[in-house]
Amino acid sequence: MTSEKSSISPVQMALFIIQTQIGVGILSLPSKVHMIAKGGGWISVLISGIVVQVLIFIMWALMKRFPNSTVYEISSQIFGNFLGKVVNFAYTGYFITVGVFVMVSFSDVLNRWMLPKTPRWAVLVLMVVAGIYLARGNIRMMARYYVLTSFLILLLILLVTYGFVDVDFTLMFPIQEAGWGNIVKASKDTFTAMYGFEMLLLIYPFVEGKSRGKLKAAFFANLFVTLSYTFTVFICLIAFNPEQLRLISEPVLYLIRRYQLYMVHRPDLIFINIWATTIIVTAASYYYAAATGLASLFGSRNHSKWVPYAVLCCFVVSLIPQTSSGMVKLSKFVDIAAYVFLHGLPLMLLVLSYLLKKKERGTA
Amino acid sequence: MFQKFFQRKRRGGDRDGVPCRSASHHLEKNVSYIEQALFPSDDVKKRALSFQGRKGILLYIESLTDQKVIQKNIIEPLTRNHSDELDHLFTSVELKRENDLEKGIAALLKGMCLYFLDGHKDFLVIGAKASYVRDISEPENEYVVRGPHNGFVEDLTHNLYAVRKLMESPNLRVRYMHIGRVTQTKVAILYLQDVANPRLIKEVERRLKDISADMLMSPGFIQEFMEDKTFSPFPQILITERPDRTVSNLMDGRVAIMADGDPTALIVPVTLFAFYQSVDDYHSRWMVGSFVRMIRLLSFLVAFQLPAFYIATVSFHPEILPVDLVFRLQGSISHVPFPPLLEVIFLELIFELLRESGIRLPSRVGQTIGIVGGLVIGDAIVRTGLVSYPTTIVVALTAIASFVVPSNEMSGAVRFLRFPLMFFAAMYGYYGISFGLMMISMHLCKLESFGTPYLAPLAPLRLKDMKDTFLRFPIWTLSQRPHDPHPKRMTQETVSRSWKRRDQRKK
Amino acid sequence: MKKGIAWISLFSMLLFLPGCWDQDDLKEARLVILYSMDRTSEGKIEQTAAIREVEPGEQQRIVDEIHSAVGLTERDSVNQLRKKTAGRVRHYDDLVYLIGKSLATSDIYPLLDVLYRDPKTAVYAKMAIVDGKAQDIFRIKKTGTFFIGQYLFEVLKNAENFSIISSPNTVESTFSKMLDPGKDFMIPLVKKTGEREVQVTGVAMFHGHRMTGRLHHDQAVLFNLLSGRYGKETRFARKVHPGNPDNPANYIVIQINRVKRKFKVATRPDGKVDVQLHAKLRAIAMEYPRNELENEKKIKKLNKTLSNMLTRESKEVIQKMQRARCDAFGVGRQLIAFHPEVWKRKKWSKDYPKVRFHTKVEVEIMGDDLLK
Repeated sequence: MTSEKSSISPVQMALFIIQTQIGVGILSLPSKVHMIAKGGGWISVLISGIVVQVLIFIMWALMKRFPNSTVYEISSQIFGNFLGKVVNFAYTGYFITVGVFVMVSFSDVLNRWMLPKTPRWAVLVLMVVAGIYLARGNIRMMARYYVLTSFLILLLILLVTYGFVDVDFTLMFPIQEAGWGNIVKASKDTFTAMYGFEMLLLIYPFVEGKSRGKLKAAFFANLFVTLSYTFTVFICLIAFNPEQLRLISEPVLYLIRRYQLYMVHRPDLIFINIWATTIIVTAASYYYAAATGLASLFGSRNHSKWVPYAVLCCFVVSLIPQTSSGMVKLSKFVDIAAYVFLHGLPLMLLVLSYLLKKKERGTA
Repeated sequence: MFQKFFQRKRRGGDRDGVPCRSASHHLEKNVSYIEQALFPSDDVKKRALSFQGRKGILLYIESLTDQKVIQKNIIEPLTRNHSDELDHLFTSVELKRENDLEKGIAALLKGMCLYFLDGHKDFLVIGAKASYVRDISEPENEYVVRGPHNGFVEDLTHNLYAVRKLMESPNLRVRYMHIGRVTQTKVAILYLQDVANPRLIKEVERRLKDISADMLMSPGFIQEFMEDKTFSPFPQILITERPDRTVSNLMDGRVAIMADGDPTALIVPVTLFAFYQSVDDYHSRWMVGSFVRMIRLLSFLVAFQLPAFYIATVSFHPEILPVDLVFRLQGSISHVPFPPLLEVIFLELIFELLRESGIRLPSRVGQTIGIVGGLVIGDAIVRTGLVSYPTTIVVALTAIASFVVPSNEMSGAVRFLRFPLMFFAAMYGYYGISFGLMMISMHLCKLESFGTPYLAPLAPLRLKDMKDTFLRFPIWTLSQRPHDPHPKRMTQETVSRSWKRRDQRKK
Repeated sequence: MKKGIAWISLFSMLLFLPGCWDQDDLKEARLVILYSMDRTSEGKIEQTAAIREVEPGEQQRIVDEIHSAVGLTERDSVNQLRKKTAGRVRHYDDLVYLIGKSLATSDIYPLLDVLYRDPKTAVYAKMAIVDGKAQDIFRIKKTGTFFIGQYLFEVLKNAENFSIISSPNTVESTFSKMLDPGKDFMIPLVKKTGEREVQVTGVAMFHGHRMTGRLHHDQAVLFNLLSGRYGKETRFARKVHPGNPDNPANYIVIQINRVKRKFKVATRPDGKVDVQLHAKLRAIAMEYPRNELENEKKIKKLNKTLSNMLTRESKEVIQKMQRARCDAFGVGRQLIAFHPEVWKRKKWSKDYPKVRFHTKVEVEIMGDDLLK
């Protein structure tokens, strides 16, 4: 399974996860979190980061028992052929749904901030083409590209850091205005922005090195994402007052629109374009995941043939929800699905694998 | 491992002048030792010539020696057999007796002939260096300010001479091949035995052997037959006419391919950044060299993005510009009847036209074209209001930037790439540019040149090799070879500045 | 080969299928550089805009074109204006945004909201309230080589340097502060004072969404110093010696180089709020004809006179602010942050005037910057 051509290093894996995690959620995260947790929003982000760490640990424990299989192969090993196929079908569906969610939210932001008259399909066509091209390559190519584009994330963080020019620290007090209950509750919303670590289920067998190194890499990836999210949310909380956060849906972009960078009067336009790159990369991860799912459903070993089908699926579905209520429904659906596929199933697989004492036999 | 150890030891002995291996009485042993050391270089020739009934063998490297001199000074006297004493027999200027075979190899590489006689413990080193008088000029498209000013010529033997001259190493291997069913072009593969990765050499040989065309016109033919991906604007083989560039690439563990009748060396594998490295970087001081290299890499970005950015800014997002600049721009472009995209494409095409016509003409007419094109058309086109000043500036800047790259193929790639980028910019604004850049960078990530990632050491990231990518660190810090051709030995320098440490210790 | 053709056809489809939906050509744009809102006598909104025209050619002569239109809302008036003008009117390069006083005394929230949330407006345009009718300022057209928009922009920039208003004074910053329940804001007040002249006469104090009072420009400077913000050229003159007010020798002109302030909000059990406001100003004398600055004693005396004078003036400023219910110091914000339970019980527009300020200003002259 793991030929030399398709193995990646733990660092590449970490960046793979980081790139997939940093996605559409971050722009609206400060507003969402503030609505429930008020000034303590940044704590909610930290909490959900910890929850994700736990989930990563569960996934790792599962993958460690099957070091040469992806989640699709594991499920058919545990559930048997037929039930495994059903589970795989569900997982594929989940990845497609998340892909759709990413695409819809992306085109939504782009339509509002940069290209108000460009129809959604036209915005998404570029994303789809880039996504297909990226996801078709083997995992090592993808990882290489992810490492390359991770420089852009640093650039994004730098642009956000500029937001410090005009802040008021009193805005973050009182921290427990909403109460600890709400702070914990708000971490549920943050969780939406954290999707992406489930890539561990798919790329784990391709990673070189010992399992502890892989765990460390995944932990580090999530730590990085959590900290940069916390940082962003924190800056937004002290840069905007509560009423403002209630009013605007993408505080991060408003934050960057506030200042002028030397010759650039609208740094938000630059930000959106850099961010678009990371979103396309995120989408490509889900295309890859879905395509691998399709490949395993149809018993094919090569995922790249299935990428266009998976992407086409996403593309067609993403043109359906036109209204904002449709968007809300979609995001709720994704949330519920995430509970099943990120919390429930991996844990269930892990428990079952212990109960049934199923474990991959010592292969190379 | 074992072999490596031996080789290093032999090299070490060679450098210090300590005899390592003395010749034996047996003629065959001596000859086979030398042949072993140079194996499998096909340009090492041997000829059996007996002297006074005793068996003797003459050894020489064909590419380094003058055949006429050998015939006149060595073979003729031997066959006429004037004297009893071997030392007085040959009429050559340089004549020496040696009994260290290692020194013999070194002499051989310098263009000497070796004459072994059976039963003698020493052998004769006879000078027969080739001296070509053909005009050697500096390659026109690879000028350097400082450093050697010689280039390759059309004669393969001479080119090999130029390389051997710069690298007197027994580990330099030359393999001949005849490619082209009709032309039977002589192609040489050059590599360093102890550095180049054997898998790479095998791969190059395999691909060369697969060429089954009637004619082989280097370098374009070989390039397209051998490249990993021909559906790519980026050249995956470095073409150079400079012996020093070739040698430094050989030292990195790359393979050079040279064909007879063509003054270029094709070097594989290469990375994108190799195209932006000039020999000049290493001849100037490292800070200046780094600065110039940064400018060159910047020009890479400018050359294909600037027109696209201009179009996107002017027709999609003018709000990004500061107020003063907006009105300046608006004043100059508001009277132009064409949309920005057409305007830019129009001017870019005129420029390409001028460039192409300038190349094909003799230099004096070329200058006239330059004046007519640049001054007359450029000025008139703006004054009639067909094109605006900013557009002219943008096109001129991109033109200049695209010629900064010290490789013609790369320059072509960059000039070609800006057109699709311009289209996307004109359709989607900055988002289109993002998309275009993504596609290009993905393509670069997917590209491989003979098993080496094209974007190394950026993707996959390898910080150690960054020392000689964007910047050029001082040469004494570059103690390791670049990793991308997967060389057998990584160390290329140890402590060249140890004198400084010794000075400090004294104090 | 087949794949290559597929890719090429896909790309060419991309190239020819779509139009350029969002093209917004600069060369067709008609850029508004200054615009204003007034209230007409019928209560509608009147917009006036100066559209900059650059004549083509190498000279690039600039002409400002001025148009007015009446509408029901901000956007409506923009639409009405566009019916009268050629080309596409664009707002992304506004330098200054003026609001007539008649409009400022009512709710200005709806005017700013739409500007703030439109991605194509210049949220960094400077703001000013016009004492009188904003439309009248457009008649100046040109002062020296400056066109009216640029001229106003420079004047407002100087006001920032002189600390009449704290920087940034933009649509963005104003709207942000407007939304904060615990903090009020000020906008500079300009007035046409001559045929070709506009002056920043002071600042308009706002409470909630409407203008409720004004501060004279000296008072405005003092307010900014008290809130710890100061521009690069915060200078003012004070009479420090008794005697003839017409004699320049009785005056000192100082420049504030540093401000250290203490701002403490304390609550008492009975719900009363005390504010400790203590500002330490470090200044240099820019002009002091008496040349007594070598003398330690004289400096101390000077410091004391200035401190007393400014403390007295600050109290006036704060009184004025409390009368206008303008909580520009952000006392409410401090309460929200550190005494939320007190804040919940307060009705701020009623309770703010009851807050007790304990103000103290200390001046310390560090010398002068004149040649000796």
